[in-house]
Amino acid sequence: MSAASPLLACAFILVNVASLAVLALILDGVDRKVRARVQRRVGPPILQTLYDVLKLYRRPVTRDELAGPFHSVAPALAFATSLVGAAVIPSLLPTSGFQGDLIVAVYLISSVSAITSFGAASSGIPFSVVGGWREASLMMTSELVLGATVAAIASSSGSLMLSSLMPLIRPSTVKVSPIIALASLALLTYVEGGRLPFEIAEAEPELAGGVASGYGGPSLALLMHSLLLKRVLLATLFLDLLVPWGAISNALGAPLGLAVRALAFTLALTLVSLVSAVIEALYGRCRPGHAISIVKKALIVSGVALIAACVGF
Amino acid sequence: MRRASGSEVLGRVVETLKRLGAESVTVTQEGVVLSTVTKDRLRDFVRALIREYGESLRHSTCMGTDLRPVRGSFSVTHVLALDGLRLYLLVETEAFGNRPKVPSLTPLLPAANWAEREARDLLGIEFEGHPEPVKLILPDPWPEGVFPLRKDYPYNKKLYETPAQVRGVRGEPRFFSAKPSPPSESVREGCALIPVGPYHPALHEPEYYELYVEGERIVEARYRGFFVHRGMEKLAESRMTINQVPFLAERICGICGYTHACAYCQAVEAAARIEVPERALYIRSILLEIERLHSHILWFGVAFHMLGFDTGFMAMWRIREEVMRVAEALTGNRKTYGMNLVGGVRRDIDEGKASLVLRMLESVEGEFRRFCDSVLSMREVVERVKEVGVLTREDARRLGAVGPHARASGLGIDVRVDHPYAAYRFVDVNVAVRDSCDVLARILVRYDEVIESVRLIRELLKNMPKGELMAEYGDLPPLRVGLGATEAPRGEDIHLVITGRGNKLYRWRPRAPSYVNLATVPTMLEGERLANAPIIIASIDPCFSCTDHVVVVDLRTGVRRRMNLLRNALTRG
Amino acid sequence: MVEGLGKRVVTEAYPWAPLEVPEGFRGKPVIDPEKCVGCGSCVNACPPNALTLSDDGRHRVVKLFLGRCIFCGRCEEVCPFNAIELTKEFELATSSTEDLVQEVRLVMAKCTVCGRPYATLREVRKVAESLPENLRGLAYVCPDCRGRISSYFVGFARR
Ligand code: SF4
Ligand code: SF4
Repeated sequence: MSAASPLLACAFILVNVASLAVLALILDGVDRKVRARVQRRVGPPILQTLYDVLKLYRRPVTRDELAGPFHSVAPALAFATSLVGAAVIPSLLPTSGFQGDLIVAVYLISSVSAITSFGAASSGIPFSVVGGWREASLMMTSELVLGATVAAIASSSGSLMLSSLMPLIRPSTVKVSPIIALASLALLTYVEGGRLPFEIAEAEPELAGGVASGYGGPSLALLMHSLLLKRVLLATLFLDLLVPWGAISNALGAPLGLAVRALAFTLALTLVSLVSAVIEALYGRCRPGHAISIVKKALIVSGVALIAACVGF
Repeated sequence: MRRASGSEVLGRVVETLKRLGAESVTVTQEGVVLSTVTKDRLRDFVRALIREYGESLRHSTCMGTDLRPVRGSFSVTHVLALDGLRLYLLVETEAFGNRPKVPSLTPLLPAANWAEREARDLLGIEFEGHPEPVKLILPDPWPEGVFPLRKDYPYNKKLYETPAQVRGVRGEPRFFSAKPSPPSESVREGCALIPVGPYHPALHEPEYYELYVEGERIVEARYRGFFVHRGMEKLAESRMTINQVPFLAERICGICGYTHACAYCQAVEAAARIEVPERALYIRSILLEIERLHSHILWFGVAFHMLGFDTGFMAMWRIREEVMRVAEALTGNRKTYGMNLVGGVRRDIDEGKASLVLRMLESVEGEFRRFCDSVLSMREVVERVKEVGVLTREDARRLGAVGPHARASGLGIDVRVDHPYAAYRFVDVNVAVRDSCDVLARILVRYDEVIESVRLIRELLKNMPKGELMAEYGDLPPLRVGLGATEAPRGEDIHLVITGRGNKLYRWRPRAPSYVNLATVPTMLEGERLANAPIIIASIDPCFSCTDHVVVVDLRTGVRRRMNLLRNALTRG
Repeated sequence: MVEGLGKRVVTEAYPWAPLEVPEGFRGKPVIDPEKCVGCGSCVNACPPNALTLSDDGRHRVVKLFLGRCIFCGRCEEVCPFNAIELTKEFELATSSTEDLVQEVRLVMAKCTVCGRPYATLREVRKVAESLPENLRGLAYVCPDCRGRISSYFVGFARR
């Protein structure tokens, strides 16, 4: 269901962007709580990440002489990009959508990774340079997977518009390719969400620093926020393709349908986060090469899915 | 094979020492033989010893002493361990003059390297023929000819009095210069330096490794440490009485302090011939094993953290916490037990406390086993540590490695068995030895030792006799030598003392196990991948835990270094 | 490993909830100003010089500076009058050094012969109490004068 008037559409988008931006922080708090619980700790309050970011915003801006010019603009750019992403991808509320918004979404999510890792690579700090390149190398492979997956889904359901894509519902006959593609998307959501054992860039005890180690104060806040937002966007994309949200809200009719959809979506996001957090707590960091080889396997799987979709399975 | 009895062995060794040219040979305490040798004969004497005892002769440490106020000379005392024969040989040489010279033993026994340089720094004794006569302990800008451990240097004398003096001629601070200066020859022509650091966030103690990297392989590694030398020896010798020093000794290490307090007390007790009551010996052993438990479990946590496995880290520290709580209930503090005085211990372990310990052992053993078994069965984990950081048996022997580190390289040495002290005379200790010589072996040795400690504590508690806690003794006899050795969680901990007048020490020389183990790190790093460096360094369980400060130097290319580092990052693994 | 989820949380709510320490915990030492006689035994035993003694002629001051204290409990062990004891208190962080200082100020006794202050009045009284009635006066004489007096008597006896 798309909003009737342009005004309403704008309002919907605003709600989406604002709630995803806040949710990103709160869900990270939930994550930390869950991880703590697995480790039998009390853990920080759920709003801790929010507090952290707010505190960082109040800190003075520092400038590093070693850093290249791109380093300092990267966090703001990444944050802006992820906000646009949040505006494009339908989440709590539907967006009007346009043909090709799927491609734009994938492009925006990839951009956030690219911006942050190149920002780190231009920091001039060996630790974060290493972290940045590790991130970049992982990203280049996983972005291919994302592309192949999305292509497989799009071609099997014949649309490039997110709100009209319902890979599991739309086709009259059950197909294999969307299922494989969705599975590989799930893995990717986890990997690209910067989670252990794939969080190779943050290998702080291994002589590599994360992409964040060159930042401080407000720019660190922006960077953290955009990485968390990217994590939520990936989950959103995954949920959009998994569940026919439009159908749910349509069936109930506005405004009840919208309210139910928003609530259900939030719950679904939380669930994804909870599951990821538990899995994450059980793993150590893998060696960078190993992480990449796992993602390469996923690439093969999604390649198979793409071919299957093309030939109509 | 029958093991020759102690006195038989001792008699034979004394004979040998005399035959090889020792001026005088005295048995100063059980298991310790002191020989004096003139400095011209020192090299020949030690060479003959090496020929006589071969592999089993291990250079443990050496102590320089300014004896000018009493004998008009300096002395250098080498501690050589004959672990198989349960003996320590002290070899003492005298040297005269303001810049005394003695022959260096480093060419014969490479393990003597650091200890000799330390004596050179602090006492101004020159070691002729030392292959690496550069500063070890004092900072590079330290003025020539000032030797803080000499008796004519007051302990409270400030080197520089005014801020202007501190700033020095060029207006740069003389001490806390931004770069810890490496030995000058290490800066090679055309090499670019990338300091990785200055602050490494994982583990927090100041030390400095220089890794020379070609491509992604480390071809040479150098270490520079001692940035936090605290001058404890000077403090103890000048200002403290014998029963104050145990508390200072305990503060040498922030993890295994009690073992230092024990080694110190043993040294003084040996010098003054004080018989410690048996119950006190048992209590010391029990606490030493409790300390080993918490130290090893802590290390497991750190190792897991190094591998990015933080749930393991948290689990280990949670298990360790139970040990800490019990230590607190037994001694009044989690970590600084403060239980020792010369002659015994200060608190008893009564029935109630013993049952606390037993309950703790029960749960720690179960949880530790369950958790570590499941982690060590993970292929992922094992692969990251297998065949990484190899220290061959020969290298371990040559460089004088001790403790779990040596035992993981196939050397079955353990002070608890080789030079029994405290209550280890009364119980049998199973020594865990592995011979794969890698990080995995170090993990497995420590695993076995945790389990063995649990068993030992149970046995000690069961057998503990009733009796006094503290020996009665009078004033300390002056100028007696005493040696105390313990098996710290990290290896052999040696304290040498020379008693002084007025219940004070004339000389105190503690040597922590990391002192020798650290010297093996460069050997392990060479030929390794850069990414493995941290876990290798951590695998010896150094008293600092990782590199704050690593300089990466590429020998082939100067400028391309950074790109190589990036490529390493991409392709490693 | 997931089993942690079902189990009790082990981290403490401290500092939001009080933390129990066991019996025999070595916390902040406190001098009982009523019991201390200023004998200085604790001062001699204290490894890091957290305890110091100073005389200003009229008073003797036993000063405990917690900033140097290592909570070893040696003072408690050696005090002949059980005047200094370690408590369970461990929250000692403060922004003012004064909070870390305890001073016990004791009036000095003057020698009845030479008039020199030689020990605290309280210590002298303790000594006097332990002496037989006829010798009690000796406690109020400083060690030097006491020596002189006794050698006089010894000399007298010999003569
Ligand atoms: S507890 Fe120890 S350090 Fe503290 S005042 Fe008493 S003797 Fe001194
Ligand atoms: S506290 Fe005890 S030992 Fe210390 S001066 Fe007072 S009475 Fe003497």
